[in-house]
Amino acid sequence: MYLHNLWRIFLSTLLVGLALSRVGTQPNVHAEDVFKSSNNPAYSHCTNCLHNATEKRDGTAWGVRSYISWTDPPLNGGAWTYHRVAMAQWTPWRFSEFGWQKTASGFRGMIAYEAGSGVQNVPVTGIAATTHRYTITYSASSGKHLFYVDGLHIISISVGFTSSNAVIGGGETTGVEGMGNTQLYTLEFQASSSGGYQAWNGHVSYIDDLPYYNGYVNNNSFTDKGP
Amino acid sequence: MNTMAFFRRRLARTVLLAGGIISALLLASMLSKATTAATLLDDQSLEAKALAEAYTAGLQGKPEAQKAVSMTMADWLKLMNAELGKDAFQFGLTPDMPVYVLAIRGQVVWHGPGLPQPGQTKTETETYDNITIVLNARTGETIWAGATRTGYSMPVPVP
Repeated sequence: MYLHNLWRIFLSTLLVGLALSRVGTQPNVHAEDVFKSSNNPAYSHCTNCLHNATEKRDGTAWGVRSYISWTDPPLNGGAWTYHRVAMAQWTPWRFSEFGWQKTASGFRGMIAYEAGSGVQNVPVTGIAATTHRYTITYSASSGKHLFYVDGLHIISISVGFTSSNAVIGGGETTGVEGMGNTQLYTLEFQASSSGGYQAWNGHVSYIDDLPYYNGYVNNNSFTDKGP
Repeated sequence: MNTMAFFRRRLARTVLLAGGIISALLLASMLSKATTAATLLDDQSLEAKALAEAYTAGLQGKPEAQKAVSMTMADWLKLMNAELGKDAFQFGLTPDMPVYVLAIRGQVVWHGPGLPQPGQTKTETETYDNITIVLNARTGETIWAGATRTGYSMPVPVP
């Protein structure tokens, strides 16, 4: 009996030690392994294309913001699913956008922009995986676009344009991932550089790549759907 | 009887000693890893993570050339004409944060997030001859990924 207790203490100590030793460890990542593990399921649509399901509101805007729900869509073996609001200038082509992205590693914020020299992606970690309000606004004093989540100012970037010709929102995937009925709601924009936000009050389809599409909820809200 | 009791006591001491030594070794290993995490990841690990991110963003095949440099977050943002917001620290971003930059020459079919131009079809992904990945040198998390169009200089030039 005495010996049995001793063995229990020994094994418990060993197990606790082993468990503690795993805390904070990270698996080794090898580029080739990540590349080769892209095992996309065969869907009836292009499985290696960037797919969008987006809505827009035409008109000059100096800022845009929206709540974007966190729906944890399935990746279906693909790379990522992204849901954002954006400002776009038609000519020359420029954009800035902010929302969340789910990758194989999980949730992260994602800023993307095109200032004329090529697409840039700025992941933002440290944001909790839940619904947030994502905001982009132009600052005349700095000449940059300012990116906020829930009113917290994360970064300012010179994105190659000031006001936009349209505000846009929606989802994007690499081909097979779900969009999870992610909802963009309380869609608002700034009609002047120093003005407050006002409701979109209407949106029309921008780019939809089947089988992805947007579901109408109301004039200031829609959902990203598919496949 | 006395012999059996003696044997039990010795066995008990041996078992406790072995358990203590193994736990101490595991604890030391854990503390060592925690200390390393507070400093910087080694270049080999950072390079592997940066390459993995580059492949996800669209790098095709092996890099033709590459250059790795270390700098602070503030230095990197200066190159990109950007700056941290007043609340950036709440997201783990500080100007003095050490970052690892891997600039790569190679064929890139862009597969990262972006916004399509009016009329652009889903199969018309943009191609580049370079990609740059920036990691938090302490955690290995990606903090920037971008490509530069022909005619523009890469933030960290690679011949």
